[in-house]
Amino acid sequence: MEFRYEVNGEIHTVRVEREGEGRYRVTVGDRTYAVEAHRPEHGRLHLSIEGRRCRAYVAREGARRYVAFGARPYVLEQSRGRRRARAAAHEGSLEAQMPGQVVAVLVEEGQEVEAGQTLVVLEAMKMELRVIAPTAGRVRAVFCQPGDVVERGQRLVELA
Amino acid sequence: MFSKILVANRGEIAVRVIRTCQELGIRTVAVYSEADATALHTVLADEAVLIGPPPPTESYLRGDRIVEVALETRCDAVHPGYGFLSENTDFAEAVEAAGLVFIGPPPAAIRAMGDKVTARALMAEAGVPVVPGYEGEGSLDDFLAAARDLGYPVLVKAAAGGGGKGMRVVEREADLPAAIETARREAQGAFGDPRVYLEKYLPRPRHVEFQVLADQHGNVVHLFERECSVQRRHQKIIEETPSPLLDDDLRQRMGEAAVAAARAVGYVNAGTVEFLVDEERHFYFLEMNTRLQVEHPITELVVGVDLVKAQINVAAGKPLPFSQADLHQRGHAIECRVYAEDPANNFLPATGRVLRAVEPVGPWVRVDAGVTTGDTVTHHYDPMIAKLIVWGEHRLDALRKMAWALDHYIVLGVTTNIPFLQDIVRHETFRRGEVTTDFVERHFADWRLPDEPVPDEVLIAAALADLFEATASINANGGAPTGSGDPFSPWNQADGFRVGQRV
Repeated sequence: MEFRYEVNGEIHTVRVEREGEGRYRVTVGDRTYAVEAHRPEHGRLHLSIEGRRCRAYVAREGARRYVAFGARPYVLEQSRGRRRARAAAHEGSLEAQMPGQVVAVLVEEGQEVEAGQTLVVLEAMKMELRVIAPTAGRVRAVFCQPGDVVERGQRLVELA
Repeated sequence: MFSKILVANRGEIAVRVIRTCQELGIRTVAVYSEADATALHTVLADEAVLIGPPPPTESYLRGDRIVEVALETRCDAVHPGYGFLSENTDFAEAVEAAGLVFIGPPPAAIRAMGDKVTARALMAEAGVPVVPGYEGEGSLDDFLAAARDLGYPVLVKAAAGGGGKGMRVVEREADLPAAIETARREAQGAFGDPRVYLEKYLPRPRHVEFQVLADQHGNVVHLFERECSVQRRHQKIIEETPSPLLDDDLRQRMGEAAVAAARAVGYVNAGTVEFLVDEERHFYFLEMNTRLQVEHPITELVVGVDLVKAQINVAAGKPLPFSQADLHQRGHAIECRVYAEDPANNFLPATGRVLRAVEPVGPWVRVDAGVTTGDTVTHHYDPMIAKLIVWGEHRLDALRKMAWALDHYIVLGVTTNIPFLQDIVRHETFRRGEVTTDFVERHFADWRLPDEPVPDEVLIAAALADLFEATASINANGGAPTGSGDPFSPWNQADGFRVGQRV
């Protein structure tokens, strides 16, 4: 079986062939390893790679595969082979930098704004974050209203 | 002694208080919001009562409702934890008016210290040095004039605030009006009181606080200091004791000032007197936290006193079982606050479900966790996952143990600050104990996860995990039994058998 993972924009291909009970031949790029492994319990995966024993913790949510190995957590996106086109940043659109609640929307559609003007005020965990116009312009659209709960990356306002 | 205590809090501190109550044979009542229906504190308590929807103002800040619950469940005392209602005078008074004991200081002491403006005046009167500032309630022009006199940068702080909430550093006059406006709004939201005041911003101070404990019989002691200079956004992330800065002389003078501060407001129960220490080793009263502090465990480890137990005993009227001369510091303790946040992106809070958490276990490693496997970090509450606390025979020993413990703390599913903490405890300046409150900004402003190639082991583990999952789900969809691969295992039967069910 072949798996493809994207980490930091780079694609890694891993091929796994079963060689016997708990024994696998795993190829990463051009490197091949003899691996012993058993089905993880409570997310704990015991491996023996070329006779060297190690332990990893694994978890998955959707296409996102989490692996803790050594002293670090890693996040791998399962890739369908072609590089996923990064959602091109919408020209002039301002997004929530953190998940939270919209406290105030200080502009309306069609309004002219100056650079540095506060457009929307977000709050999460008692912290207030102002969404500020990076340049002068006109508000083309407002996508939120006070009280909305927004996710990180959600579009709030679009400037023209 | 009390027979039943209501714990008016959530997360790790509710859990910590409940555990000590269990040890003492005191029954507990937890309160929870709809977001915490399956939270650990609700499971550990003898009873748990739903008090409202997720927003704190509709649940954990509903003092009236919490007092009602305490009465309905026949509690005789209320422990407020930290945050939420812990420093709310009206709540403490309401608890007492209902004939219950508030496990904390007298309402008058909370009021005196809670209003930072009053507190500064009282401390100056008691001979405790305070940071120069402007306590006016005047117009914006008055603030601008005062700030000019103090000299920039200045701090805008909430009169009703504390812990850095609602605090703003203002570098230049042009930014002051907006900072005051934002601070007022945050203060109104967080404390229901929009008043703010100015304080001179001390360059590169150290944050050193003293734990105090006072009983109802006039005994006041301090349990030495905690150094809390590693901060981000003016909130502590690493604390340690003893402070590498203090010598015996400074320690004694600050300890005496802390006791004087507590006496000046008729303090009873556990509290913390916070000081700033400048480059010339002058110390200034910053504020007093009239409650149990987040970082109280490091004091517990080094002084050998269970502070929650002490709080309960004091509230029950018992005298302190020790005098100042009985108290000593032994070894060194460090705490790291593990947060769901992204240190590479302005420490913005992260939310989501913790798919897997594995806490480190070892000699003198303590984990006070509020969130573990399966729990969700929501935007409603503080994003702290746990406090990781270690004790060592001396500072270097404690540092090594903390580095080890961080390396063995696994959290998958939400972004945490663990890799950031790992880098801090290995940083040369921190290891030398020379940290000032601007340490994070100075040395970690552009911190990123190291851009190292992914080890092949990680890719192998990922692929095998995916392989095992794929084969398990193929089997689950009508193939051979799944899981253990044992065709006789009862876990693989799908005939509705249940343990304990009549066959």
